[in-house]
This record gives sequence, structure tokens and C-alpha cells, in this order.
Amino acid sequence: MRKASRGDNAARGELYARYSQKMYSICVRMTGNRSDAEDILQDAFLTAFDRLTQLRDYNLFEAWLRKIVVNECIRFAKKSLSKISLDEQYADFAEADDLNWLQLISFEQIHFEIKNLPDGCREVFNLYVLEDHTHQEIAAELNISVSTSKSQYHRARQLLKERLRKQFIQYG
Amino acid sequence: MDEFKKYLRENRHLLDVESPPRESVWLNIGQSGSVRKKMAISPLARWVAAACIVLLTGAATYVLWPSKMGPAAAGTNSKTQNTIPETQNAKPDIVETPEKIGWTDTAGSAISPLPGEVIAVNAGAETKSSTVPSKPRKVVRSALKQKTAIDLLQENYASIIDVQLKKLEATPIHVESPGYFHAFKKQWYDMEKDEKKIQADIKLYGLNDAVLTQFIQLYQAKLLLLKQLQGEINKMNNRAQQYPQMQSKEPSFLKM
Repeated sequence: MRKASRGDNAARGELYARYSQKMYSICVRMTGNRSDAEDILQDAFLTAFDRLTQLRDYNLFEAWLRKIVVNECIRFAKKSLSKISLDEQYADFAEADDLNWLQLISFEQIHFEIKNLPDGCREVFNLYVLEDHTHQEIAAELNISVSTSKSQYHRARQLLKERLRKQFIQYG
Repeated sequence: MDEFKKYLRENRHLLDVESPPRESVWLNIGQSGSVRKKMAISPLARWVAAACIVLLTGAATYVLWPSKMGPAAAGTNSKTQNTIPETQNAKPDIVETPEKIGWTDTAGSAISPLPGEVIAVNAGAETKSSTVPSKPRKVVRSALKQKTAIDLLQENYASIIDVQLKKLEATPIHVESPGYFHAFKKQWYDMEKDEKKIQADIKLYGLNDAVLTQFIQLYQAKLLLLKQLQGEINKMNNRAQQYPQMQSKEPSFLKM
């Protein structure tokens, strides 16, 4: 880590090899496509290497890098979300979460369906569920209202469940 | 937390199953990183080299030059002087005359010594040479030169940092609030504390290689931080230009 902070390319390569796949998965889930995800991954790693000297505790590198990646994804999302309307309201139906079937679905499939969610609800879903941001934080980050954030999350959850259930029914 | 969210959150690590990105991503990172590294170093190299040369010259002159001559040595020198041919540069009688500012030799040329400088008394009378010999001056000047080299180093770096800082603080930020950059600010304040500590160490222990290296590295790090921060703000403002709806109503300014 110290070598990487001093600009050692081999050390940086090692860090990239260790963490790129995980961070790339986050980028793909947030953006919905590999090309944009690659751009974001590149920017995020460059930023991380530039700022590596600021990191005091190297044990927190992964969490720190993840934060940088997510921030880059949010910046990207802000651009794309500004072009679409997110004012649709989805009723918050209190469903009984019978999720036994979900445990039979592979995580590859879940990942695939998350990244194929429509723009808007995909970003909110990722931030709320996987990155553990609150709706208030998401609203501030994406320049949307709290109620929009909540409704987009419910839309995403509804869609995801329907699609995964179809997969389950179709393929068992 | 609903059960759906809870299930996914608990198994988040199992969702990272995307196939790796293309090789070109790492190639771009590697190239951009080395270019950034190059750019970060080259603007400072000139100042660092100049400061090092001045300091080393001063230190070498101070260390290698013969010890200072006092009144006892002056007497000895005057005896030897008579045997030295006129054509050669003779060592004159040397007396400290700090008050003799504007004292002239017999040839009539004005001599304006530096404070504390040693002046040749008999140079004119002996008619060996009408010019004031330069060697004695160097003994005293090298000590002064060493001291001013440190001040020069500090002043040079401080002036560059000041220019960068003023530029930064005058750049309007159109997208994020100044609080977004708190990590940079914290690092800046830590560096200021380190700088004061090093200055205190110099006063206590004098200048040595280790302290000098620390000093130079600290200033380099400060300049790099300002450059990174400026880059970050420029990047954000460029994005804001492309997407005006992202801009804040009022631009804000950073105060370090």
C-alpha cells in the first residue's frame, strides 16, 4: 500500500487486480452497462491512487475505495437522471415478504436483474439496498425528493421480484 | 428493514459476479497515473534543484573554507606578506572594523563593507594592490549565505504556495458545497502543523540533511495537494458546464 501511494505501478497493479472485479460489479449494477462502468472504474481508481496518501489506515482501503467508486457512480447517475422524469409515484404496498423462493435463485441472476432495472429506480435501489444509504441521503445525492427516492425504490423492488419470480417459475 | 432488502444486504458480497473489465481499463489507469506523476513532479523539480544547489554551495563553502582569521593571524600574515611578490594577491593585515563603513584605501576608491565584514587595513599603504582582496569577505559571507539560503528556500516555496492558494480560493465552485472538500482541508491543516514543527526543529537543532529533506518533501506535498484540489474543482465545474441543471444557484468559494 505504501509503495502504491508513492506511485509504484506494480503495487498499484496488484491493488487493481485484487479489487477491480468487485468494484466493477458495483459500477455495472449502478450504471446498467459495462462501457459506462469501465469509465467510472477507471476514474475511481485514478482518484483513489491520487488520494492514497490521505488514507491513514490501510486496513480500511476496501471500504474507502468502495466509497470513491459509489461517489463516482452517483456523479454519473446525476447526469443521466437529470434527463428523465422520476416523478412517478408508486404506492407502497405492504407485502408479506415470502422469500423462500428467492433463496433458490442464483446471485448471478439477481445481479443480472438488478443491472437491468430501468434508469432511475436502479440507482436508487443500489444505493438504498446495497450501499445502505438512507432515502434522505439518496435524495440529496441525486437531486431528487425523498418521496421520489422511496417510490423509485418500491418500483425497483416490485420489478425485481416479478422478474426473479418469472425466472424461478420458468427455470425452477 | 424489509426482508428482501435484508436478504440482499446480507449477501451483498455474493453479488459481485460481473466478469472482469477489459485490459484497456488498467492500461489507461497505468498510463494516466504515470503522466499525472510526471506532471506532479516536473513543476517542482526546478525549485527543488535551485534550492538544493544554493544550500549545498553555501554549506560546502562554509565547511571547506579555512577557518576565520583573527587578530593573531593578522600579525603573522603581515610578516609573510613582505616576502610575497607584488604581482601576487597578498594576504593583507586583517582587522575587524564593523564601524568603518565607507572607509577608503589610499588609492581613494570607496570600500563599502557588509556588516561584520573584515576589511584589509594596509592594502592601500603597502601599494600591493589597490583593490580590496575578496577572500576574507567570503569567510563571513558564506555563513550569511547559508542562513539566507534557508530563508530563500522558505520564501520561494511560500510564494508559489501563496499563488496556488489564491488561485484556488478565487475559483467558484458550481456543483458541490465547500464542505465536500473537508478531507483535503484536514490534510492541509495537518501539513501546516507539520511545517511549524519542522521550523521549530530547525531553530532547536539547526539544519541537517534529514530536516532539509523533510522540509522540501512537505512543501512538495502541499503543492501537490493544492494541485489535486484545483483539479477536482475544475473537473466538477466542467461537468456542471455540460449539465447546467446540476449547478447550484449561487457558486461557493473554498477557504483553506
